[in-house]
Amino acid sequence: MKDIIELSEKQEEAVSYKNGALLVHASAGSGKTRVLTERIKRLLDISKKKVLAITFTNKAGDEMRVRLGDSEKIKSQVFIGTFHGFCQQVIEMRGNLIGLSKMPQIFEQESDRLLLIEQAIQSTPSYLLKYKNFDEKKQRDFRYRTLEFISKVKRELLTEEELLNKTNNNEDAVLLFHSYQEILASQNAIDFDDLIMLTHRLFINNPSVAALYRRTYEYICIDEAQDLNNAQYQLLKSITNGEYENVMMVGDPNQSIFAFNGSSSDYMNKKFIEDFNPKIIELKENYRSAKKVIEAAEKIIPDSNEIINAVIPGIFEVVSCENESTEAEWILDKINELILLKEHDDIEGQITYEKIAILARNKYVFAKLEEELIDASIPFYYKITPGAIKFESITMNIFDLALRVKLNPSDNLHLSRLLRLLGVSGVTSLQDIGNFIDVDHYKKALELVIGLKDDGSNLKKSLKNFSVFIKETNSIKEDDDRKMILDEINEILKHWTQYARKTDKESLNQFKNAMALGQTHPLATPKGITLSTVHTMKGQEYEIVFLMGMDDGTFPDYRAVRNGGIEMKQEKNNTYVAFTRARRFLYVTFPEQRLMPWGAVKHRTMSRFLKKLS
Amino acid sequence: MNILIDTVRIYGFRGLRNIEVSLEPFTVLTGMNNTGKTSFHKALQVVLGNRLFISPDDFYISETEKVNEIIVDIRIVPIDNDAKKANNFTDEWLEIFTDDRIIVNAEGEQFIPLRTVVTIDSITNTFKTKQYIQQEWVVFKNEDDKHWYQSENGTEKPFHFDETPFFYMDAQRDIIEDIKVRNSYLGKMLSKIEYSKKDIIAIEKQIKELNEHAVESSDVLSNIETTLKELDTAMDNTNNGVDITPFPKKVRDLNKGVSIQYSDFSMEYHGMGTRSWSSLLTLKSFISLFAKTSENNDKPFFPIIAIEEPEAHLHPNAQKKLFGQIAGIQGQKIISTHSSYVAGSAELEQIRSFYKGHDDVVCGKIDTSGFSSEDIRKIKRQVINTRGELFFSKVIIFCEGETEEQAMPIFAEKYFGKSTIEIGIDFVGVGGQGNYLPFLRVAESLNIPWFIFSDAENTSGKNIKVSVQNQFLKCGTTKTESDSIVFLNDGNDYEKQLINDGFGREIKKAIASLDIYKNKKHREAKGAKRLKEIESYDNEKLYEIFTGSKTQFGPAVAYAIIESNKDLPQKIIDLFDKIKESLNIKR
Repeated sequence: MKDIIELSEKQEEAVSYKNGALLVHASAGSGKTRVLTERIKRLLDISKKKVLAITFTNKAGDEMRVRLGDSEKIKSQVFIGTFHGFCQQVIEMRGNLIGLSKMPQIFEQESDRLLLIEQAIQSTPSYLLKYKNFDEKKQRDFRYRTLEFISKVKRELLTEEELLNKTNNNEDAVLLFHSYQEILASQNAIDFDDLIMLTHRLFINNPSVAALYRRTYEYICIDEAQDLNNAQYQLLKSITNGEYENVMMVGDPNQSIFAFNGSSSDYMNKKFIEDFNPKIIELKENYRSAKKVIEAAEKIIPDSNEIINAVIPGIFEVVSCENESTEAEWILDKINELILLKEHDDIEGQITYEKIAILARNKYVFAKLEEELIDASIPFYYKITPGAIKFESITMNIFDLALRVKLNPSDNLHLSRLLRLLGVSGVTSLQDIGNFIDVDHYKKALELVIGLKDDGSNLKKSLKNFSVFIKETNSIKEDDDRKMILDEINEILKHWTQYARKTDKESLNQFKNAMALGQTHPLATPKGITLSTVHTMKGQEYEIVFLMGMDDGTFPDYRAVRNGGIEMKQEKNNTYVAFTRARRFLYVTFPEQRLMPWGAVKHRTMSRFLKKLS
Repeated sequence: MNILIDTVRIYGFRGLRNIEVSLEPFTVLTGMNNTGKTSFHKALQVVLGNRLFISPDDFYISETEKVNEIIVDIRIVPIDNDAKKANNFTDEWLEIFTDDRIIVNAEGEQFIPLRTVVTIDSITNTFKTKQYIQQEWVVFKNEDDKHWYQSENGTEKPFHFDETPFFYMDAQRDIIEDIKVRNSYLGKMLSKIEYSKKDIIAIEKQIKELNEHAVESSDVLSNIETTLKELDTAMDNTNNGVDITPFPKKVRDLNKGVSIQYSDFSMEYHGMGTRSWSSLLTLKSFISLFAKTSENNDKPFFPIIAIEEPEAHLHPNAQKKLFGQIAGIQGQKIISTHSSYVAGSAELEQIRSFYKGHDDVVCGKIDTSGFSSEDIRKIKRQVINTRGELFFSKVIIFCEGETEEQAMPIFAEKYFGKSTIEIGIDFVGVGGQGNYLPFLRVAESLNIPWFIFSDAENTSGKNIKVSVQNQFLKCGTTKTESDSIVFLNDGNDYEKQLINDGFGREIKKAIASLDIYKNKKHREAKGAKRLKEIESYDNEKLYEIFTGSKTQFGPAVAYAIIESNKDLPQKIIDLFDKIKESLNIKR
């Protein structure tokens, strides 16, 4: 069954383009990847030959592979990969034609190559003396510059003589280059730039090999073509050899991120047009985000790029609720309303729980909502980053570090962190540290850990007692701090319950490990609505997003409010990120009062970031 | 057809330690038994077909060596319409093999160097087969004595394409078995019989009528039916109840009852010849069906067909006819044979001779590129058509005429203590001292050891020795003259040599033994006088009679010499000593 994909008129024009060169200028969100994959699918319908699909990163290649599907036809008839991946395969199969009988090892890490530079300097005595007189910083700069020089030589595909000319007869640089290459060769290794250079050489020296690729691949498609560099473009030309036209380039001329790599949008915008005279199609319409959502995000941090071409209206609403309960209820009602609606012009396909995400600054904001969702039997899960719970309060960080040291007394790393946090030095046992602490609840947290039994049998009781202490102690001044500690204690207790349920022989050590592996997290199976903190959500987008708990002190966090400066700037950025997670609908809510764990009610105001919006 | 497997190399498979065989679109493998012809077929199967048969016994083992991997390399090349190697694969094959498998060498020639490696896991006793595309096709053995199988494997790439199926038919084929066995080629075809829905309804209606008619017309059947209907009274059956069907009721069951009649007899009553032949023809039919499907799907098709001894159980003319039928199958054919008729039907270039000497099995072929058309005609007429058994020899002795040809086996049996057939020695009289060359060329090309036992007289101004030496030089051998030719003493032919060697008495005995008397009385009357006459012959007279014309003298003299208990003639001993040394035969 084929998915029916709706395409705009411009997209359709690019997708259905058959023979000849094609340049697609695609701005952000204009459906670039979709156009590319749909065109490949259609080309395969009409051709029995292969398609060469060059992406800029392996990740982009993976995404394209997922979109194309894994039918036999796709697998055997499309090469998806980066220029380096393609070249690696060519060298692996045909390296003997340029004297490489065995596939060389590829040094792709910059750190590996810097090490080679160091060796190359050591074995170039005429330079070594000069280098030795440099201070450390200058030496490092020099190594980086040399690396860049070598890379540039390779990208420019220079010959020996050209090399000397281009470097203004700087013999030292040339010698260094040779030393570097010799060291590589002696280890039967090549670097990333060599891959392209050698493949280019192979094609130029063996025209019949280039011809094989020209005949095998009826179409070549290059994604992110604005990032092409000279070597890559010359490689392309060595394949096409002036007798092959079916090259498609897709790119956003406004968006070149790999500038340090010798890349330039000129290869796409000037050279390609000169050499191939392609048909040019402009994709400007932005389908990624709705107009209302972009407008809202704009007001947090202005970003002129996206707004102009957005074609889908979308929804943006800020809702003020009486308290946390009514906030949760409002969200629940909205969800039910959307699900019942089933379809909306702005949203592709049916509205399902999977298209909805609920975000908040921290996970404790979800407490009320979670209850409501469970009551209403609406499926949801917590998106978590694997690893142990990250505590935010100093008190619980003390608890966490002390627990690690208790479980592994030779863990000096965490012992020193604990000491630093407490401002103590020269002590090595947990018991002794207590004598140096004068903050009551810190001291209590430490004692709690020391008193824990290895089988964890008194963990629950100890934490509950500690919780009572936190609620009553005078040593905590701020209610926000008090609330945070209590939330975090509750969180550990939840994990413990999950853990204890799954095992019949508990141990503190095992509990800590299970927590680190994410095995103790309740409701972590991805199904239904996604609940997530803003942090965990970076890089992901949903059709419909609820951003809840947008009251001042929650988002921005009360500590940022207190400290201002960079912390506040960070909160603002995060708000922008939270907004732009929404593609179509964005609902922002906040409660006018919050109930504290010890029973008091606190009045809240709307987040300062929202004030410009309403 | 525009591709070809032009070379196969095998290392460590069964009895084949290290061999290279070049192939033609149609190749005929000849050679004695146990030289590895079947192993060659099976090695191709390892590359292109089903590998389930592989067992630990397939790994080469000798007193000094045991391999732990089997390596088979094949090279697939593009060819043009005249079966000549071309530079580039056609588009249709390019689409199949793509840059993933096509290699281009520095000369710009495209080919596929496919390596197959079989290894054994000694703990689980299972086999792993991996296939690779090599970077290049190396020489068989390079200057550093490094063999092809020691070269790099290359990039791992499985090689299995519907477009290049492999078919193997062993010598035990039998059409009767094929009908019964579902996975025989016939069985596969029968299970694919398809009719349109309309046809099924029509045919099944006819079968129903036929069944009813058959039952009604037979008292026995209708009686059985009536009786069985009583079942219905006991069972609560609402369906149709009993049905007696002498013919299968459903079209889909038709294939289960197929029988093949040939000239009014069911196949069961035919001999193995017909049954084996029919089985082969079903393969041909299967492949042509396959080809048709490929053509309909616009796909290329290149079957590789290996057939063992297609001549099995057939008379000579049928063998020749069969050869033509196999030649007509699409794809690349490799057949093995022990029939001089089959070998004789092939073109010289199509023959590959497997020969096992002391060392590895080697493969020989007749390279006709340096021959004139007259040379080729001579080889075909004088060698292939009349002496086809040479393809299956262990060693060949060439001599000038029939006398030696018939005498020497008798001497050989005495010398080696075994029959010449057992050893595999063939004695060939080439029919005149000027006729050695075509024979030498064939034997030399096929890698079969050969020797010449030659006269050395001068007749009508011609020096035979010089003439034979010239032919020896032309045949392209690397052997020395003294290793391969035994000349009689200067001026002697075979008869004169024996007389000079002092075998006059035995020759006289032979002459006497060949006298014919009408009856016992006749002999008593004339015998004594005749013996006296023979006894009085001088050497000149003996020579005159011996060379006279009777070819029977050859064996008769030989038997007489053996009966005399004298040593064999020295020149014969010289020849046999050389053979013994070369073949490493124990007396």
